[in-house]
Amino acid sequence: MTSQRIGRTFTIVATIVIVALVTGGCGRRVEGSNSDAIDVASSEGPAVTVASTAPPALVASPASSQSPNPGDSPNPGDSPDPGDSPDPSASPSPSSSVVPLVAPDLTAIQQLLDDIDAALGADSSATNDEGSPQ
Amino acid sequence: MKNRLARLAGPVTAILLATVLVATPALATSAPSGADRLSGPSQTDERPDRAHCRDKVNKDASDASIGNLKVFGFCEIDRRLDTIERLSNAVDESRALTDAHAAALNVILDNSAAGLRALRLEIAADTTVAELREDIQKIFTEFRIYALVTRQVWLVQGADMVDKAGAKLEAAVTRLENLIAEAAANGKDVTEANEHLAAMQAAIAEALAGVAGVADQVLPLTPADWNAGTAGPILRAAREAIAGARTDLRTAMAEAREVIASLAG
Repeated sequence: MTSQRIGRTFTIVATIVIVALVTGGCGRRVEGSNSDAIDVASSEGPAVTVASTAPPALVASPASSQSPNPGDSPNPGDSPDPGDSPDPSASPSPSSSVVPLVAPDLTAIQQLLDDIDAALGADSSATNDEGSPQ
Repeated sequence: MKNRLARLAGPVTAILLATVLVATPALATSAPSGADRLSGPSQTDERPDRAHCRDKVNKDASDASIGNLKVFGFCEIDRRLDTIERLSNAVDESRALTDAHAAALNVILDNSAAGLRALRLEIAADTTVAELREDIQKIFTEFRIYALVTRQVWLVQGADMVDKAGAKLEAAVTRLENLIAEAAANGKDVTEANEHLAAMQAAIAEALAGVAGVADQVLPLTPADWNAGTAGPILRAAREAIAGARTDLRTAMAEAREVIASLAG
């Protein structure tokens, strides 16, 4: 009887451990897939790196508390290019009296300039690889 | 004892299962990132260079032996097929290429790969040194994978990158115009900002005009054009146009930052 009780207790504890491990595993899986998305997004545009690379806002928005919870933000991989996003200065929040003037983020353009450098570099080295049949 | 084992079997199996489930995503996170998987110009450094195939030839045998020539021919073809695959990946994953340009490049790459595979079969069937010499010559003269095709891919991409960057900068101009209008409405002197904005627009226009028609000139080039000496000057001009446009785009970027700085100051 006592051994049965120990067995049941052990089973319950093991189940809890399993649930904890599986939950933790799923969390890591989601985190892993997001990091991939972030890599792609950051190479496409600055959507994920706005905080570190965007020019400073010209006027701080008093409605910053209305900014969405980070947990509610869309998948970074799905974020549109900053250059394509709606102009914040053109659509002021109806509840704010001061329009938040956010300067355009130039990170995506800088990335394209880097890509042009890389393309020109690949072009210049290509001819050397042709070789000759001699 | 049997009962105890039976009671323990469930939890132990579950723990093993959980370990597997936890280990799977952990392995997944160690996989290369999306960015790492992107093939780009940097990967061209990993491909075997032209010395690679000479190194594969058997140095002890006569240079002109059928065996040596076949090894050299196969190696040169495989090296080119490998390059074509990398270029195809770069075209497929390009964020700048227009659909029409990507399709045109894919046709060039696919035809080149098909031709090289056919030539590989011919080389395999060759039985004399003379046949082999003639077919090996074709690897170079009939395909020009490095001298022409690779350059077509990167130059067309470069021109399209300029176009895309120019379009993004034009979108930034619109935003900056809005910012300037807002600042002016708030009583700020925006003279300097407007001057920088005008310089930015001029630089963008210069960049876009510089690469206009580049892709249309580069895409139709053929190995025959290269062999005749007519493709080289066009490729050089395309490269210079893209490099000049890159400078213009950098100027536009600098002017955009000046606009922002003058409004923030």
